[in-house]
Amino acid sequence: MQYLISSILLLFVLNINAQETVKSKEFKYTKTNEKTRFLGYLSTLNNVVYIDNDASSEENHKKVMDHIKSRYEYPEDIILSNDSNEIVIQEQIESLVTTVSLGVENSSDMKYNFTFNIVDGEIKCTLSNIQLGNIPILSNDYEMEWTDSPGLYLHRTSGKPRKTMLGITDLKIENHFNTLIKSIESL
Amino acid sequence: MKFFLCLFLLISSTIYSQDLSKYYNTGNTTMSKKWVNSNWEVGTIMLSDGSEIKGDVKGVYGNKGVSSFKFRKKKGDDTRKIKAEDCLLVSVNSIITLSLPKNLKKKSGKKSFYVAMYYGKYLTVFENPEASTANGQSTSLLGRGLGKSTDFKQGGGRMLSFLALKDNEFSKLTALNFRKQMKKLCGDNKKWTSRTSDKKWFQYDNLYKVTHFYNQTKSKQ
Repeated sequence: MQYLISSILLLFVLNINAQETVKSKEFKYTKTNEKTRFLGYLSTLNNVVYIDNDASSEENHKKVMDHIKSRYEYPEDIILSNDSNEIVIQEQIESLVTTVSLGVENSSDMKYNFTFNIVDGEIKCTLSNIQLGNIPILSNDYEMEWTDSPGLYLHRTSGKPRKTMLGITDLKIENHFNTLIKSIESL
Repeated sequence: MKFFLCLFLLISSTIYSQDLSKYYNTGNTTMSKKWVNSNWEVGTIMLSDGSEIKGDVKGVYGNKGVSSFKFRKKKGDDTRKIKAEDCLLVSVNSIITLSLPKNLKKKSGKKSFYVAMYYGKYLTVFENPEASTANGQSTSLLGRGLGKSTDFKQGGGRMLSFLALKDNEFSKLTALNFRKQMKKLCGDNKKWTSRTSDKKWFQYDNLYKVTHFYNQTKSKQ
């Protein structure tokens, strides 16, 4: 009996360990089982990616700040908060999401928050508050309207892929975020 | 014994300290009048004692804008009315509503709700309830005309003035005299002041980003 309990406990601990070591290194859309009428199956982007390195927490902080400074003349424009172990930015990318529907191409801006949790040897990058922006057709003041985006509907209700989107729309977004990650890694 | 009593009191006071900092640098970037949804939406209310309640929130409109909020933990629970006197801040669907003095000149007495365009540590910009909009109507008239259920997200036209709160002082920012008013208000920030030479950036339509830059660079002074 004691052996059985010890084995179960060991298995439990090993399982937890295994889960902790699986850290995503890149952003990727994955099809879920969530099906919405007319829209199809939802594909979601993993929201956490890890950058592992040999740098200290100060060096990692500098990497993230250098990356932001390389993209923006005024980094303060996108920084929401900046501590020694966490930097939060909010970016707005024009026409990042392009979709083709009935032969017509539509594009939407994307706005998101990126949180960099910084420790020795690791930067944890978390995406959140993803929103898509469009200027409503009947708008008098041409102001962008933002709506929360849970993911992309890359598959029809039948389960078949949307050829105009799968490998195109998702790839563009994945490439955008993965390029940011690689840029920080390379610094 | 006295030491432990003081320690306990100190800990209690910190737990309920009014930490509004997590709401800083948030707001809604649009220059149009924003309507707090009068349908139930997930939101957070920070009460006057500094505690937070999270659940379903909806706005109740009076003659001049949001008069109160209704709160329930979840569907089916009892509803509670939250007035401006009862809370500091309400956050629903990326719209932050602040509880501030009804008479901004007196800064005391009855309180009222004001919808924030940008809520910052040093400078906050919020909607002027008396403001006119670019379509020629007063916003208070718009509120009255739409009745109780104002379930739309688009604004009622571009607002031609906002109010600013800095160092516990209120001031008005108008589309006409924006640059002069803003320079007077934010002239204590050198980095911000040097950027105002960029006329494309320093304009009324960019009020959100101008305010954000001030708050971000002010702490580095």
